[in-house]
Parts: sequence; structure tokens; C-alpha cells
Amino acid sequence: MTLRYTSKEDFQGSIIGLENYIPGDPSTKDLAIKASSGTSGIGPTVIVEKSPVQSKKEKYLKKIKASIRLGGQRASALAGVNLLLRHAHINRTLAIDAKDLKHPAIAHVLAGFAPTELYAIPLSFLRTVMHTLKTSSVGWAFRRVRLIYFSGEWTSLREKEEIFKPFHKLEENIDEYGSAEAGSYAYSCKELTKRYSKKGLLVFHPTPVMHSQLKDISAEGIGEVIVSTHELLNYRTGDAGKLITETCTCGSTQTLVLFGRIHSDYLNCAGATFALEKVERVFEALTDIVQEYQICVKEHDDGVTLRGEVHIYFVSTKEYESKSNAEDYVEQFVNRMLPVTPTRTLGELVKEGVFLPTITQVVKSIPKKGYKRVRLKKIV
Amino acid sequence: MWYIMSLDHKEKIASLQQQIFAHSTATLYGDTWGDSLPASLEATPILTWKKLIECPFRKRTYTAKPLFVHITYRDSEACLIGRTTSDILSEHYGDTTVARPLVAAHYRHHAIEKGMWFYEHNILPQIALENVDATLAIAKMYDIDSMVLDERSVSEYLPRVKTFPKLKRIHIISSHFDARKIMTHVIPNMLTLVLALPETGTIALSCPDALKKNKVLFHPARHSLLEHRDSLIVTRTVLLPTPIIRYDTEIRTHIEKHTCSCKDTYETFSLL
Repeated sequence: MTLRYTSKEDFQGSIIGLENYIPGDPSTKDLAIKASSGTSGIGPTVIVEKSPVQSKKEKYLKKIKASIRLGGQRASALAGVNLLLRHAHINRTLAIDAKDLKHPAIAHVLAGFAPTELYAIPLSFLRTVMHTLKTSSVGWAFRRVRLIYFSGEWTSLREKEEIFKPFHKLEENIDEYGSAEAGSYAYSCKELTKRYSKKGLLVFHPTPVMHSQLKDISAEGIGEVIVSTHELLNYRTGDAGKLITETCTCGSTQTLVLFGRIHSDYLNCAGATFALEKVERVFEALTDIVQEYQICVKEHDDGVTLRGEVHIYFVSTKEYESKSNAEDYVEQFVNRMLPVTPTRTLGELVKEGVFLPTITQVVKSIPKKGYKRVRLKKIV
Repeated sequence: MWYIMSLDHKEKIASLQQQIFAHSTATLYGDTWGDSLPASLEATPILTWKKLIECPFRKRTYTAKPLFVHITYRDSEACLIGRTTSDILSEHYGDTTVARPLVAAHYRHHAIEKGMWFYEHNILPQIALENVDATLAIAKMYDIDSMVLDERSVSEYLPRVKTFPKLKRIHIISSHFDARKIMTHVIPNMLTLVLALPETGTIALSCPDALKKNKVLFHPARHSLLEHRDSLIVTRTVLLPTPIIRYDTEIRTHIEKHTCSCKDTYETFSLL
């Protein structure tokens, strides 16, 4: 039997799952109205989502004592708070966003709250928080944090170390993989992070919504990640992944390795368009310096401002291996030469603050399997 | 002057004060009450915003139950206030017989708290996004029948209410109201003005009878005991995580005798 797949485009501008809601029914507490971003001219997809309480999550909920939810959709935060207050034994929870960070007393307030857990979905908001609090003693506000739950990619291991530095009591950090449409598909664990972090791979344990499905699996075992929720059946995520059967100390028997987006000839980010053809043309002019490269484009949406960020990773040619200014040269060249709107280059958007400063890094190798030269990560 | 002080209130407050006094770790009130319980509510020292923010959060939290915490901002100062789900459930907002509300508030913790009220009443709320246009597009799809707005959302949402013909209730929660502006967008029948501060919760509700005559008068809300001095002093007759006993709201009021169909002859007040 051929499976019928669904994708974001099938639902854009419509509301689905509303039949789940019967006014006055106690099951309303398991519902949330979530919206994913719409493309121009078409409204957002709205989902009245029925959230199953996953056993793994429930285990963590019970441990939570004083959590702060940083950023993310307000509806998701509301659903999360509801879940937390129903399942945790003794706790307190606070939800903040960029508006709170503008207040002069925020560091004092956070210190008074004395958080022991941070829930940062998306991860970009944790970056914003740490940057904001840098001048007002981060350690003071977060000295008791022992668990960080987040969703998103680190730009580098160094960045992760930098951000986690003030958390002296951090015991565990859990990464979550999911989307606004379908919620959480997978999560990391302490053992998984330890095992794969040095390889720089994005690895997770699938939750039941994934049903261990991949579509159009290649000879290397990489296919498109498919998820099924109460409202979305066989939903195409647009992400490339590989499933490995292995037993983890946390009890999970499967590992999902993510390899970025599929179908990425061009991608849109913060109002700019990155066309693979144009990126390739710029790098053709750098063949004496750059042997191989990968561009990672990130879109940060903290609920108030939408900003892009470009990371360039490249393997240097032998001639330039020992030259310390190769990174600067490549960065300036790409900023100056890569058009990302009909009238502006990447560098101009960086100057205007639409994009964060480009980050360029020489690496020893670019992972081959399943990787795309230009990949996008939307962080909302 | 007290608006109401029934025997029931006296008993409730005496019991509240005993519980507060007996608490082993929280000291917000104990520090000013000294070694003995105040002889009466009238003899209880007034709690001010300054005293509230000077007391650490853990020292003014009189419960061990799970709390949702919001932040109250005032100029350059801020204060954490916790609420249990049962506190949120029992908050008084007047007529809330709605099925599909839109909740819009400037700060996410305030929006979540109001959203939780609806969840606790088995009503699914739509929580506004930062983007007003996107929020209203979703509101059309969800077919909202009511709005709950805070003071800073009023100017964003009220001018658009006419595009929602099925709206039957609008609640505006604030400590001050531009009544003339509000009335240009909303007919009085569908309006409830909720006089509230984030640290106290609901203090009073607009009198529907007076609103019909384009007057903004308030009746004390359930669980709120009001005292008129230079400004409004509120006592909440329920044990909140940070109890509110003779709290100076700094809201200036004017008492009016007003006969209305909702409460017979009843003490009402207007805001100065």
C-alpha cells in the first residue's frame, strides 16, 4: 500500500484539529493553539494540537524545581506551563521573552527567582539572555541551574562551552528536535551527547511521534524524516536523517542522526534569498584558498526581531593551510560578493543589522554523507 | 473607610492573619507585625510596593505548592509574584461565559496567566502572537467570541473589534482606563473593565449598569476588601502565595453612591 504524505504546504492558511475542541470538556487542558509561520500572501498554518504526555518528558517534569522558559511561541509556553504544573511535585515556573530582557531590573529578578532549570526553545533566546546579562553578573542569576533543555544548533563546540561557562552546577543539557507544526519529535540524552558531541553530529532519540519513519532512503540510509501526530499524518519535515538501532544507557533503542534540510537549491532567511547557484559562483572565485565548504544559514526569531546569521565552514587548500588570515579573507569576500536580495549583498545586510556578523571557520573536513553545501536552520 | 466589612470578612481575615503569622519561613508580614498578631485589620500596618520589593521572593512566598510566577514592573523596579493554579482558577473577571477567547498581553507571563484561567475553566484560549495581523488572521480562523486585553494591547486590538461580528465579550484588565477611547470601539453591553494590579489580582469590576450610561464605576470584586484613604487600600480575603493584607495600590479613587440593577444600592467608586 502506498502511504499518503502531507507537508506544510497542504495546510497553509487553514486551521486543523479544531474538531479536538469541545467547549467545556476537561480534555481541553491537553490542547494548544499553535501557529507556524506563513509564506507571503498565505496565512499561517494553525493547529489545535493535542499533546500526548511523553513518558520521557514526564520523568523530567517531575524533577523540575524552579524553571524559566525562555522565548518561543507563547501558546507553546502556555501548554508547557500547564503540563509542568500538573506533573511536577513542587516547583515554580516563569516565562520570559525579549521584552523582559529590556527591563533594568531583570538580572535582579532572575537571581531572586533562583532558577534550577532553563527551558530554551529556541536556543537562540538563551544566547540573547546570556548576552543581555553579561554586563550584570550572569553567574549571580544562574548559579543554581543544573539542567538546560533547548532546541537548536550550536555554531561551534566553543560557542556551547562559552554559553555554558557560567552554569557551574550544570548536570545535564537536553537538546530537543521538532517544529512548530508537529511539536517535539526527538530529544538528546547525557550519554548520547557524550558519545557523539566530538563528531559534531546532531543526534537524538526519536519520540513515538516519529514512528521511526524515513522517506526516500538513500543507499547510505539517509532519508526524509516523517512524523505523525494526532493531527498530522505522515508529515514530511523536510529534514534529512538516518536511523541507527543501538541501545543507550537511558533505555532508548534508536538514534536519529540529522543531516540538515533536503531540497535546498535556494532558501529564504530573514527576507534574504540564498541561491545555491550564486553561492557556488562566489566560491568558484576562491578555489585557490577553499578546497571544500559548507554554509549554514540560521534564522533567529526571538518573538520580536527576525535576524539571519551565516556560518561559513571551509577546508583550506594546502597553500593556505598555514596562513592565518584565510578566514578573514574568505569572510570579507563572501560578504562583499554574495547577493542575497535584488539590491544588496550579505555584507550590506550585516551592516544594516538584518543579519548578525558572519562567522567563518576553517575546519579539517566537511562531513560528506547527506550534507548540503547550503543549509538552513530556522530557529523560532 | 471600609466599603464592606461583614462578620464573614472579619473571620476570614482573622484566620488569614493567623496563618500568615504562624508561617515558619516567610517573613513579609511578620517583620512589620512584630511579636503579636495585629488586634484588627484596621490596626494592621499598610503594606507598600517598596516593602514588597525589598522582601526577597522566598521570604514573601507563603506556600510550598507549585507556582506560576509572573513579573510586576513599576518604572525601574520589578517584583516576582507567584500564583497557584487554584488561585488563578478562582480569580474573578465578571461575566466570562465565552467559548473561544483571544488573550493579548504585553508580557508573556501575563498572557500565560490569563490563558491558564481559561484552561482551568475548560476553555481553549488563543494566545496573541507578537504580530497583531497574524494574531487577527488566526482569530478569524478560530472564530473568536471574546477578547481579554491588558492596558498595552488595547490600542492594538480595540480598533479592529468591528471586524469580528461574533464578539460578545471584551475584558480589559488594567489599573487605569481611557473610558472615552474604549467606548468609541466597544458597546457597553459587551464590556467589562477589570481593575487589577499584577501583584494583587482583581480589585474591582466595572458596574455594567453604569457602563450603559457611559459612566465608569466599580464594585469591589469577590475576595477583595477595599478601604478608601488617600489611595485605594486592598485586602484579598484569600490566602495568596504572597498574601495581600492592606496593600496600598496607589490608585486614587472617589466614592459614589449609586443605585444600580446589578447590586441594588451599593458602594461604588470611580477612578480619579
